Amino acid sequence: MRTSDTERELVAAAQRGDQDAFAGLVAMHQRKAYAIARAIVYVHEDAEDAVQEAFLRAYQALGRFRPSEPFGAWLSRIVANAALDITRRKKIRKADELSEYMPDRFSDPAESEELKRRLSSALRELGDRPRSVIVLHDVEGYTHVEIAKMLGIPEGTARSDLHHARRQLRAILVDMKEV
Amino acid sequence: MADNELEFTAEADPRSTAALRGRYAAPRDGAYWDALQARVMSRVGANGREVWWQVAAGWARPGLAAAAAVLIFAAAALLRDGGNDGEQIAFEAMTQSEPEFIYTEQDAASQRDETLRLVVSY
Repeated sequence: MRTSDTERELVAAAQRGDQDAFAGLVAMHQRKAYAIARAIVYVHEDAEDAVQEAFLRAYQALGRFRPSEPFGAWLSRIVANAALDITRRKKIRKADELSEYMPDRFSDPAESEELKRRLSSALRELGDRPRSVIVLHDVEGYTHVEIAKMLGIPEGTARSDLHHARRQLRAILVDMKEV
Repeated sequence: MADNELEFTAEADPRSTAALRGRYAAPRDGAYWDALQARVMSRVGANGREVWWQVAAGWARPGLAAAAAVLIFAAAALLRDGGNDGEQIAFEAMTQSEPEFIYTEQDAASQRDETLRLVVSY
C-alpha cells in the first residue's frame, strides 16, 4: 500500500475520532514538522513546543480538513503558524532574551566552537524571517513557493530573503579563515 | 522559475550550508521521536475531548438563533393567516347572509296592478 493511501486511511479514521489513527499521522509527519518548526524558532525546545501545539491544533481542526488536500501541506502551514506564534510571544516577552549564545544539542561535534559562535551571531543578525527562509530552503530543501505559503509571505520576499541571508552568512564565514 | 532568477542570484555557500545543517540537524535517536509522539498524543488526549464540546457549544448559539428565527417566522405567519381568516369570515358574512327583503320583478308587477286597480276604482 502506498504512503498516500495509508495516510488517507489514517486521516479518515482520525476524522471519525480514532486517536490511534491520529498517532499514526503524528509518527508519519513529526520529523518534517520538527524541521519546519526548528527553522522558524531559535531553539530546539521551542521547536518541540511548536510541534506539540501544531498537532493539537491539527487534531482539533480535523473536521475542517478536506481529504482531497495533501495532509502534509496542510499540517506544514499549521506547524509554521504555531512556530511563528511562539517567536511572536518570545519577542513580546523579552526582545533580547535570545541574544545569549544558545548551545545546540544536536550539532556536529566536529564543528569548531568558533564556527558555532559565529554562526549563532550571524543567524541572530539575520532576523527571524530570513533565517527561517534560508534554513527551510538550503537545509530542508523547500521551494520558494512552499516557503511563501508556510510563512504567509509573497514568493518574491522569500526569494529576496534567501539572497540576502546567503550573502550575509557567506561574508561572515569567509572572514573566519583569518581567525 | 529557477530559484536564482531575477536579481536574487546569491548561490548557496557549501560551507554555510554545512554549518547550518549541523546546527539544525534533527535528533537521530528513535527513542526521542517515540517520546515526542507520546507527548503529542498525551496533549491530544487531554485537550482533544474539548473539541466535541467546543463544536457543540459553537453550534449551540447559531442553533438557538435559528430556532428563535423559526419561531418568530411561524408566529408571524400564523398572525398573517389569522388576519386573512378574519377578513374571509367578514367577506363571507356579507355575501352569504340571507337578505331581509329581496325586491323581485314579480313584486314590481303586483305593485303596478295594485296602483292600476286603485286608479280604475275612482
